[in-house]
Amino acid sequence: MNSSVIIWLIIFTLAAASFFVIAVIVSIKGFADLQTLLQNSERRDKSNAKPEKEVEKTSE
Amino acid sequence: MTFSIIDWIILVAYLVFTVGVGLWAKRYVEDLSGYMVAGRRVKLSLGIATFAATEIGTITLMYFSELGYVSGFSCFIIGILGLLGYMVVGKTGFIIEPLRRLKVMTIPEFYQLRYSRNVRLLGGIILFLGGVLNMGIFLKFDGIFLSEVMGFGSDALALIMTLMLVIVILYTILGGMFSVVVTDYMQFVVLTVGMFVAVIAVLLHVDLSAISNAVVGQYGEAGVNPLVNPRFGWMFIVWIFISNIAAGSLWQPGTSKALASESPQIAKKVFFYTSLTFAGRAMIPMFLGVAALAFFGPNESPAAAMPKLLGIVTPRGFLGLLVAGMLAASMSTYSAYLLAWSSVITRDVIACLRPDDFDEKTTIYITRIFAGLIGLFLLIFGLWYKIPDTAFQYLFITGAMYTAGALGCVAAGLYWSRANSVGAYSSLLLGALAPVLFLLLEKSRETLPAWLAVFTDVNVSGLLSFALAAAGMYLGSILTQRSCPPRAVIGGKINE
Repeated sequence: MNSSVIIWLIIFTLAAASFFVIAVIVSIKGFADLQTLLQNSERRDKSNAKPEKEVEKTSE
Repeated sequence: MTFSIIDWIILVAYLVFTVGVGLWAKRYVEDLSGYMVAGRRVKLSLGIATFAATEIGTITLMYFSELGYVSGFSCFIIGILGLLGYMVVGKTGFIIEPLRRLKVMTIPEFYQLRYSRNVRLLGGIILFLGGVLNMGIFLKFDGIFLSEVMGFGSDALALIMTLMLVIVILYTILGGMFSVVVTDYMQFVVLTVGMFVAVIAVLLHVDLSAISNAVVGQYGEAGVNPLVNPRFGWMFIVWIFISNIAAGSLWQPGTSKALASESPQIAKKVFFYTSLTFAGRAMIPMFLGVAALAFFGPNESPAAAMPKLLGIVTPRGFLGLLVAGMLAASMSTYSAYLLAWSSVITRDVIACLRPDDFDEKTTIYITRIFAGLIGLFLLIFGLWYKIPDTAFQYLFITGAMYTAGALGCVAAGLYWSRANSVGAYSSLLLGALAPVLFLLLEKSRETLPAWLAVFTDVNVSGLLSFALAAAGMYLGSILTQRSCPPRAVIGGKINE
């Protein structure tokens, strides 16, 4: 095999390995981030809805 | 037909699940920043997943594999340049960090803060045109991929592609960035599995020494050395490196992910870690293209060779997973691009033509209409436009239409106190000039005089666009400092 080809194949192996390793880590940790993002958004929705209810009560 | 029942079950289940999740995420959109940048609450790992998913579409795999097929290993240099370019942006925070700090939602918003409303309008128009033209060929390549892998005729494909586009438009229009982020994450996981399946299937069927012999036999030294390959050379390397820095920091679909990050520091980290996947993002499909050269020989259609190979070597069941992965890649790219370009046309073009800004509800409403219209344009444009030479060249030259001028405007606006609106106009217009000339003249290059024919060399045109944009910004600003004094942006507010 041509030595230039071997060098490119080594570079390819490193590139592909780093792609898949980062992908696995990000897939696992990203799920936790996604849960936090959605939970925080739900909390914000509730806290935004609360003052409106309080206003309604006081106006009654 | 190579697609079996189990492949269909996997594919349909995946599509139904994606639509469900995309529509479900709509409930989290409470205001404009929620719609456009997911409330700026995206953390590191999720940011990397969604950014990487945006940057990998079926089109990415297709144009890189096409390059692998026609140039051998020498195109692998593009992967290294991508890694370096995005790493520079991630490590230094070049442009993205100050933009995130200013809390802008689109790049042209910065033009108004730093220059004027009219610069924002011009920048918005160029960004929109460059962006939509760039996206115009995506469907065509997705069609080629699906037809080769699944073994269909073109009639059924048009239907599948339309269906896919309708699904993406539906959840992007309704759920904005929240839907994009949630589905991007899911799609990133599926596309990674799809790419892994593809690599393993090819490695099991195509011998590495056969690949080496095919490349050296077909292209000789040009197949392993990018400096002697006539497609590449030094000018290409410099252009693509600058392009990667410009695209990394200023290409709206990607940059919007930095703008959606929880903080400027997270934005930097998202770019840095994603850059580590960029060599693989390019080299994996390039390798598949090179393997297709070894498998079929040099007489196959360069764009169709890789999907055809995957259709042959991937076992049934896994093929459904692979296609689901590739559709995932496409959908995540479409959704991010649709949202980016419809946001730009609404906020930076239409709103700029009015004396007052739209309220938030109207902005979201108009953005949704334009996301639908852009989708319609993609279907029509994708059917008739014939791509010059390789898709890679087309994508980088249409990208340069905007990124060259934008790099001049935003970099100078952030880091050079003497930049003014005359410099910004010059930079935007001159930056778009060479790519526009390329697109107009490329099809009649044989009949052109020598001085004009130089623009039909994609490498010259691409590099020239950045040089002209930089010269336009410098000379335009320096020569008009008194008549048009620059203004500064401090903490997101204009300081006259």
